[in-house]
Amino acid sequence: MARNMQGETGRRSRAARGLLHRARHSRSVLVIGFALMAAAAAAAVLVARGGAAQTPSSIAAGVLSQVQTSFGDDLVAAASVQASTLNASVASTDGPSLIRAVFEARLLAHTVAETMASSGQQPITSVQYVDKDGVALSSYSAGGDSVGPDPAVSSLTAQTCSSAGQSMAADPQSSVQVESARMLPFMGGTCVFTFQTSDPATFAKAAPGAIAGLVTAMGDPNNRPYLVEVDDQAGTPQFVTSWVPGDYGDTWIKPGLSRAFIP
Amino acid sequence: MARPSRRFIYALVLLVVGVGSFASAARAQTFSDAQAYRYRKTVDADIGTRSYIAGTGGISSGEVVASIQMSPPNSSDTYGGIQIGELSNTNDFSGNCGSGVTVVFTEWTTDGSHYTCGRTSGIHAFGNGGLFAVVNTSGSLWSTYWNSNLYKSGPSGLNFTHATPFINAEVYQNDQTQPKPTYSVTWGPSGYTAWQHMDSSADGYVTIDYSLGEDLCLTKCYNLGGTPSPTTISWAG
Repeated sequence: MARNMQGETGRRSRAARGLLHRARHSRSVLVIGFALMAAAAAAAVLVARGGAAQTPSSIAAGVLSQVQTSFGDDLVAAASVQASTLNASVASTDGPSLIRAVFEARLLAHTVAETMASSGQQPITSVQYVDKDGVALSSYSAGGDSVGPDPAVSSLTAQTCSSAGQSMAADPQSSVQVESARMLPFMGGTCVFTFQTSDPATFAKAAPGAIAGLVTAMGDPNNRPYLVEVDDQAGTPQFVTSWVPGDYGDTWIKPGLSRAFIP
Repeated sequence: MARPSRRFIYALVLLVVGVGSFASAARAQTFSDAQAYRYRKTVDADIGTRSYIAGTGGISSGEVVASIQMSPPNSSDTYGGIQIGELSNTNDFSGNCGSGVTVVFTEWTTDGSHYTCGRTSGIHAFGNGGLFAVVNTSGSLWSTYWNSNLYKSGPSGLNFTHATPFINAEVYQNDQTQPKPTYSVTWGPSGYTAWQHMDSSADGYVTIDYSLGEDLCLTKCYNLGGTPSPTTISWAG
């Protein structure tokens, strides 16, 4: 028993150090990311003012760069527009990272559509998720997902995401701690949360109420994109869910945990 | 009672088992749930099912669900399934299909871990959703239909070409201090399309025969009334 307790303490210390490092790293990435996004946005404005027509593919490439910078990953590796469909090549084809990859792809598609519309072009109307070989992912609609206009919502502040994350952590039923709560500048503001729990089973059972509190705290329920990842203390995902307006929910739950969140 | 096919239904059984465990643990004072199925006992030979769904499902805290689904053959050792129906939930409940909504939805899983929900707004009263269908369109591709219009094209990864039709009813109450939920939904009410199946001969839909039906009432059982079609499932809480 004592050995186990020492082991737990050691793991927590390492985890805490890891979290601190990650937090610092995240802040650095965030600062650099926003700088790059600002530069990309300025470049886009210059191109527009200069009268150079942006092709759908160049818009997709520009937004893809924003997505990759914002998330700090390459889960969406490439994007191209064919007719009214955006093809998003994702780097993961299963498991929790697939939820994250498709979430990024959906935000990409919505932002491409909005950018096309704002520049007077006919926006894309669907998004297809494909693997590195261009094959449609087998766990998503064979016909792709529709992409409609973004809902009208007020701009989100970074503080809102942070406060919402803290409110979920404060709910004793949720059994989670906030690892990170980031606001990303897509669709009027997107919250991306990572929580940590020592009791994934309790969280999975409490998820409907816990995430409802989170959604309420963000405001504009069902009209605000979010991604929630709940990891165990080793940092392994146990529960990942995403929501993107346009009415798509996507959830991965580790086998053996409650599926109360799933109708 | 014979067990139904194992993949999707097993995943749903896990849901109930998990929720039941929760009910006796962390939130025993503020939680209840119920879930029931009626299914056509077959050798997983059907390529479609449809039913008109009508009735009421009212809840003050949580979610109610009424759907039809196709679950895969017994022979497979992986999960999978696709359903279409309608759900209503409150602001204190969030699920894979949203929060504080009353909508038609489609949901599928290809592996029992990853669930995708697609929905559309516009149905403003639970139970008035109309005619629902899940149909095999080619190979292992399945699509869902609402009022005879394509609702969602399913994924290519379901990996079954024939399946068993299910009716699914769920109530999940968050807060028992709120008024108890009411639930009375009929699949195939008089005057409307009955709960039907289509087998692989694709000769059209046939009303499901009670002799080929099975009930699976798992927790805080509903009243499953009538023959398979019409089937009325009710729960007084």
